[in-house]
Amino acid sequence: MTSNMILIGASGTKAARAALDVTAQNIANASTAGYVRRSVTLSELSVQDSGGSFGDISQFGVRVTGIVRNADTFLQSEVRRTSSDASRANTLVSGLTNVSNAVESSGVYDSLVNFQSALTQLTSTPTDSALRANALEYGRTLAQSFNVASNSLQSAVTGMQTGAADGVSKLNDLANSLAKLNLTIGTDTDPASNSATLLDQRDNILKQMADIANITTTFNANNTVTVQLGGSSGPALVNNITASSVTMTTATSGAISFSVGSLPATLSGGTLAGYQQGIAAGLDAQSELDAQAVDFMDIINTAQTAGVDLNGTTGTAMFSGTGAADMAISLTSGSQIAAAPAGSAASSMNASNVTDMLRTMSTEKTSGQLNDLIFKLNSAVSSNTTTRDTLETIASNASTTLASQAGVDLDTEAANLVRYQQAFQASGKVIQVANTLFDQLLNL
Amino acid sequence: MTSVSTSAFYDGAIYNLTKLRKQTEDLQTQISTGDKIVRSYDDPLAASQMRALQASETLAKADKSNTNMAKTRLTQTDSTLSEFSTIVIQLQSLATQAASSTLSTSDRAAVGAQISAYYNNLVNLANVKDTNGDALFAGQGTGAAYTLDASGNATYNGSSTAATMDLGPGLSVTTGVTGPEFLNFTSGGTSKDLLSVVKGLAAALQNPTSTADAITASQGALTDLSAGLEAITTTQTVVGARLAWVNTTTDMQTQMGTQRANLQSTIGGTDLTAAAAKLTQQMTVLEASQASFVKMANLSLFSILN
Repeated sequence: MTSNMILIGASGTKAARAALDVTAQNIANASTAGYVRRSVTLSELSVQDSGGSFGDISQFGVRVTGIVRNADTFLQSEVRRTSSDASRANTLVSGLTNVSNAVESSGVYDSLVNFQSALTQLTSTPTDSALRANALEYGRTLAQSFNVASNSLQSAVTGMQTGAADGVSKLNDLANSLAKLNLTIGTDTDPASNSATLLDQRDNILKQMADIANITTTFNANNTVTVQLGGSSGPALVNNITASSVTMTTATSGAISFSVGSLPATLSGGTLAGYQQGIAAGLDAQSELDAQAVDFMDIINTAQTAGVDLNGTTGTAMFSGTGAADMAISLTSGSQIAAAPAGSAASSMNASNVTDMLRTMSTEKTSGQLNDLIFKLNSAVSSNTTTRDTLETIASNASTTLASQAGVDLDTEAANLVRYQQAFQASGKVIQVANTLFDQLLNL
Repeated sequence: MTSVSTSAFYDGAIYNLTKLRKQTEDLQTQISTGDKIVRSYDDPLAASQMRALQASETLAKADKSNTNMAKTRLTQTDSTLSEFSTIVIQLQSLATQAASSTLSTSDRAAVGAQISAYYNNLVNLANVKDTNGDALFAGQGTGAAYTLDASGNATYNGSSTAATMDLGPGLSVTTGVTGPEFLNFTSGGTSKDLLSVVKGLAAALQNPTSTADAITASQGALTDLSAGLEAITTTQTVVGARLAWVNTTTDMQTQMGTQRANLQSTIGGTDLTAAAAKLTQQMTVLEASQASFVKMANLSLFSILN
């Protein structure tokens, strides 16, 4: 009977030791990302009617049945879904901000207004060579501003393309790691092994994948996971121990698309979707800027050929180029500005051709359209920022919910530390008591 | 289960404190710059209105400089026209003298020489240049308004109409008058011009065919001169009206400028009182959050266990 007591005490100390180990592990990983709080499940060891007579008490103490990982798969999938949305919105906002800044900080709008102002001043004294040179220089500044806007837009788009390519290569690395992990998890059948750590790693990889692209996950009975890119009908990225490779295709326009093998993947979340949408917005802005540059050049060049310059000869095109990127001034001297209407003599004080030029710019709302373009880009940033803030709040709520369910609370661990220490001491006392009882029997 | 894990507590605290801090900094920037719109995508509509206002401001500056130019040119035209009328009045008194039969032929010739000198003055005045060095009365032409042939007859070289200048959206003014507009007039049913009338008078007095002819010429010239003077004063009235229009435009420009400035400060300016009050409120919240965070963070069971 006393030997039984010692064994029971010993099993108690073992269980308490295991619980203390787990508590220590939890405390150590309190701020480890993706760490799910472990707890020990204990069960009683007892046998009824074993070998002996009826009613004999056969108790053998306690045993550790396993280490439980307190993860809620629903909450985890919510975290993945919401963080996919949030990272898409975040990437899109920063892309759109770059696009908006590209046009706005190029100063193209101010340059256009200054050019108009210089032309207006020229109407006062069209023979003044200083005013003519001034108008020409503002024209040059305007052309350069269009160039800068176009280049900045281009580099914003290129930046997003690079970001997307980087995301794709990270996603492929993660898919390969997950396939290897699936192999390890599938072959791991020992419950007392480090399966909890493997599952943490698995969930961590899934979370990182979800940040890059929205994924659909299917968990198998042996804890391995199948990942599809995009929605539930998307192509398989990781199937058991096989990882497929995602490829990114850049069209001549600059737009990007994704596929797994020969199957196209439609993404609605993650940084990749954000880049895709941001690039589309950048290309739109680019083509609109080009259209406005062409419209503007048309107005000025048409007006130029309708008038005569300071020497009385018919004016030639002031601007050359096919869009915002290659727009340049083609006049070499201010005297070539065709200020006077056709048929005027050299050095005419008549500036009605410039007045007509200004009037056409005003009726075509040249500067208004440019202002509208900047407004449109700004509002895209603004409205998407609101969406992003909402999605980030949702994502942050989801991860807080998961964290409060699966994360480590140091106060709880502190209480557990005390509890299991007491359990250990109590079991020790049991052994001591058993020993004393044994000694008393011997000393009889 | 309502308990929050330790890392979630810290993450939440960092998120909230950062957000508060950013809001406070935004307010501070608004106050220190005086601009409500720190980044144009914070309020795209207001930013777009501000850009349009700024553009009007820039264009208004050009209009203002054009208006000043128009004013200078019209003022110069006005004062030159006054010179013209002074000379014509002098000529009238000289012609009156010459028309008198009491004057000896040599005296009349002397008056003729004086009139001839005035003729040169008139031609010089008609060719006067503006501040840019362009002929004032040549209309849209830039060369000399009148050229003299070998015998001293003046011919007009400029364009038929004077230049018009835009003073802003839908506003314009004709910034001068052409020579023929005030030097040509109708007298006795025929079209005449002042310069040839004066030249003719000088010639008739200096080399008279007879005294009677000289007197008749002087009397005829008197009628012509008064018609000429009327043409000049009429033109001067027109120029005066244009100057008044330019002044009205200047007033309008000033008013529009004030309105724009008001609109700019309404749309884009910081309401200092509101912003300062909000900043104080925001800082109170931030300080309270920081203080409560420190208290909460110290609330660990580990600090009690020993």
